[in-house]
Amino acid sequence: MTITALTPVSRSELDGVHLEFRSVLRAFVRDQVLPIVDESEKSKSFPKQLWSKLAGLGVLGIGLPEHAGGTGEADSVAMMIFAEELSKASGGIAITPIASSYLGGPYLAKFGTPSQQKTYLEPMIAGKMVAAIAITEPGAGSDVAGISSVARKVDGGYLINGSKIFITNGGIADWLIVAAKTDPAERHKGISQFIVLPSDAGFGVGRPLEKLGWHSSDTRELRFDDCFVPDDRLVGEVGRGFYQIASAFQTERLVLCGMALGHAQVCLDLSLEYAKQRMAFGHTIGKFQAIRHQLAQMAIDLKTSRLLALDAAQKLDANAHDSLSVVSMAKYHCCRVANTIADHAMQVFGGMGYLEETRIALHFRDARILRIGGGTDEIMLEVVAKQMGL
Amino acid sequence: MKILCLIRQVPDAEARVKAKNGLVDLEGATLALDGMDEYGVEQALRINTDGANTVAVALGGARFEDAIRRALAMGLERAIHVESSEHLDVVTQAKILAKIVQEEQPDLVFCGGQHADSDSQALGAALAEALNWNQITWTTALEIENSSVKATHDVDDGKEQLELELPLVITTQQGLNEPRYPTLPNIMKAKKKEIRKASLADYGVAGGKVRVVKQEIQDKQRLNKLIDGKDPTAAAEELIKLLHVEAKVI
Repeated sequence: MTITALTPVSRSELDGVHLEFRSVLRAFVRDQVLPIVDESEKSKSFPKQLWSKLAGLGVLGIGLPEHAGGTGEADSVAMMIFAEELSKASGGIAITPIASSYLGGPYLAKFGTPSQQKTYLEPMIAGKMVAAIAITEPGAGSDVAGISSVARKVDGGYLINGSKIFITNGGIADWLIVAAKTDPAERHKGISQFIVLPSDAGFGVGRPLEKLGWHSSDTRELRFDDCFVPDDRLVGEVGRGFYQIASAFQTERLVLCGMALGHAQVCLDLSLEYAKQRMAFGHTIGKFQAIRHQLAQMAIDLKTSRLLALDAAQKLDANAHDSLSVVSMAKYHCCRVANTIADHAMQVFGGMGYLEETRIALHFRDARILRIGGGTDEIMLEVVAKQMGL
Repeated sequence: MKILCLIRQVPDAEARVKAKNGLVDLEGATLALDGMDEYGVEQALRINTDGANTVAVALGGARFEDAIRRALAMGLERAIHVESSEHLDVVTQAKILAKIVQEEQPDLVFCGGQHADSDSQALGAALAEALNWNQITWTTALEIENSSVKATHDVDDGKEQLELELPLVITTQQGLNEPRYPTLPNIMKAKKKEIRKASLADYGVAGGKVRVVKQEIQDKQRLNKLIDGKDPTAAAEELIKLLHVEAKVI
């Protein structure tokens, strides 16, 4: 008898391949990314020269189809490592390729036609095109089924009308996956997804939105005024958009866990180093119980986040029966912990933490969006509760 | 063309090294493939772009395997690891490596110009001597046509152009190239590449000829010199004097 449900699919440590991958990424981030963070944050733009370098590393196609230049097999652990190491430099820099490859990419990987994969996915993995997903609207965030953008069937294609907001990469994307109602009378069953190009008539991009954090990331409002999209740019099936979106959420949430771990780890590392050398009242501040206990608590919180995230990643790849619940737990826990640790780090650093030069400020503001984007804390708790039969 | 790349595992530039019982203790320290050796691996892969006939050769402890995997992930075809945690002087290392070169019969051997840990520049020269081959040291540019090698290397007051015939030992220098980062698929493939293990005994060597008696970490302490700033002119003069005469930085 095989008891598959009890077969463990989780390991608590990274394996050799992932350790090596992490070590390569650390060197890459140290040499190629950290030196340009200041400029990128100040100019509020993603450093374009990184695209070809990221493509050269093979990190724009983790888990995406091999025939399009990706690594093929699902590897959520590698995706999380990529997200973590890049976020240690800047959340805004990290989210740009993440939104392109791991928020946009999976739709074409799973539901795209061979021609769509060739035209859009392949150049994206090669670092020659940037992608974005456009779901959220001024009147519908967490309530995806409540979107009001409409795609009306016309001869040879669809006419899209409506608006989107908070769209990461909205102003720099070469293609966008846009969700709109093909049947406005329906909720979940009325949504379809389309590839929209910036050159499409009737498509408009608003000014860059000013944000608390993610300064290196482009965020826009989008408008669709009788925007014509031909039939061959429908993604997947008509009316299946909601389910397609729901299926990609788990990957997005895990990648956000990786980003949270990056912010948390760098805040802990910097705080520990600072606590060991900053003197007050004749001692290093790490000798004071108020500070040392805070650091110990940060380490414990980070460890539990890391274990939970790794468990969730391995379960998602193994298609384990409880992966939906565990991924939601991980998203909730990791993103909250990142914010708590960034807050503690600010406290350990005191006034120095409030200055840009220590980097605590960057991680403090970049971590905050993680409790909102990709499913809010509240939605994560709802998913977990629902999986508990409530 | 067949190419051998000598590689070493050294403490990472940011690693904190400590001493224990009078010797450097690397347990817990982050180790990495020596950056100078990376130039050699990269150059080998620029010559044989598909990685065929490129071999990593390492002589060191079990943890050297991480450096070997990195070289394989960059693209080298296979590796030979003579496993020994003993301290071996450069001449003894060169004797062992020369035997491997004779077994493998490469046209070219790349060696790091300077070891990141010991600062030694002797291994390439010692290997060339053991093989009775020509060598080009501190190479910053390289061009190979048939069996003829044109190379540029740094000298104190400029550059020197050399033209030599293969086989050769070439030692690397910063500027030779920009080493690639291994990609995730190549890291996966590297796990399956061959690493042939050997021991010192396989090469008829019992140990080195130099015994390390004691190692210590240099203790850097601040001098905590304070200059009285009541008279700014006198203070500036005193500062200049200290920087010039004592610190010798200006």
